[in-house]
Amino acid sequence: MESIRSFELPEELHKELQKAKKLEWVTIFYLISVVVLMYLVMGSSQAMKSAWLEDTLSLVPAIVFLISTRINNKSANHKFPYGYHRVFSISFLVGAVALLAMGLFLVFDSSMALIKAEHPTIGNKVFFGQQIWMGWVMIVVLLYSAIPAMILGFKKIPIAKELHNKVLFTDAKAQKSDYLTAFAAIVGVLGVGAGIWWADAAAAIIISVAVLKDGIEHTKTAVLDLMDRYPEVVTGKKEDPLVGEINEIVLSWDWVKEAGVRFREHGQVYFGEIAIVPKNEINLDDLQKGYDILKKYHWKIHDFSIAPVKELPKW
Amino acid sequence: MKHLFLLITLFLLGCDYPKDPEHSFEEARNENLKVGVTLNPPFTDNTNGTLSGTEIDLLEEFARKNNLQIQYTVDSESNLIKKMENYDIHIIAGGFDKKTIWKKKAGLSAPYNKKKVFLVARGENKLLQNLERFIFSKTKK
Repeated sequence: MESIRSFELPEELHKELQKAKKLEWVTIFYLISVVVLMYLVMGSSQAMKSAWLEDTLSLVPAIVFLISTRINNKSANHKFPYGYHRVFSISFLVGAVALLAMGLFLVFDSSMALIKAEHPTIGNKVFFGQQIWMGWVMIVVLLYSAIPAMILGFKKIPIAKELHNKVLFTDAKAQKSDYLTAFAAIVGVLGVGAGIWWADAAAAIIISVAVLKDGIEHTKTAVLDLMDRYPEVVTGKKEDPLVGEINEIVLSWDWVKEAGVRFREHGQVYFGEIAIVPKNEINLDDLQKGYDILKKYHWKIHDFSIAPVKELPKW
Repeated sequence: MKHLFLLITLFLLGCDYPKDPEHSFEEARNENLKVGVTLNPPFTDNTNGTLSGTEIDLLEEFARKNNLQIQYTVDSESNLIKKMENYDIHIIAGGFDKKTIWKKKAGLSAPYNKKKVFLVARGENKLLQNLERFIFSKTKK
């Protein structure tokens, strides 16, 4: 069903979501073509193997994004009273762990290639009656694996920021920096051609370490998000100022003496509580007005309760 | 960046490329092409002390075309592989299938008849290139 509406996104972001979906479909088909081509030409080059596995794995975020968007769109029900937003956090964790495992494997595998002093054999093939060293073909394929990926990455980053979607952001960032992988692999292949057998294994290790580093970083982010830490902007490392803004707004109401606010990330949106020490007796109309104001303030502030208390909790 | 890349590529295309990390082809030129043979008729055979067989014929022709002298070593597969891993042998002939179990320990040449390959010392890409040039010239006909 294409018509399921994304009930939490404001009108102008629907278009962005559609754009993101389209880009992810393009990504999937493009990556499949890359993976097939790389597999056909990789031979016994360790650097190509690492780059190939990395590209194969980069299919995961795109697929995860498309599936999660579909699930995320379901509305809350009796069985899932908080809705399905966490699907993004969970799929992000799964993708991150996969990346981490692959990184560990690749670092080990590439190091073994270097330790065992494996000299990569790169043969020749005949194309249109011309004998061509497969190293050249590998380089062409590596360029194909890098340049369109970079363009896709650049297109996805601003959308990911607007949608506050970490899966999409990770995917875009990885693609944007994909040229580094390709570049390392190209240097490795050129090195092999120049008679430096270890260039290949060295390039493979560089690629593997990059994969491992991403894996560690993303796993950490995913776990921290699921641990309900203070919400951060998608670009990371910075607290989302939105929470502070909510606090300011609540404090500006004339019936509020003191206020405490906490929110946590559920995928793209925030859930949370606002504790209020009222000045006098609580007027339910005031409370209702407060809900209305905050709900309208930002689409990310998705679900919250305003709780009148005698004394503020220690958030 | 792109220009630099292009320059490097052109430069590398200009000189001889790829190279052998362990200089097998140069060694073959200056001394002998060291061929390991494991007997497997009709590809490789030993009749009255002289080696014969289709693969021996092919290698002799390859050597002739490249002005190389061949020095044969007849031994078991595993012994020859061990020697080749130390780069003491350049090529092994013995009717090897392209899905040979030695795939991890040796480089494979392009198949000369869709199925059968020579084993080439790992990573000796220049030697491999020259051997494959010869194989391709044979398969074209």
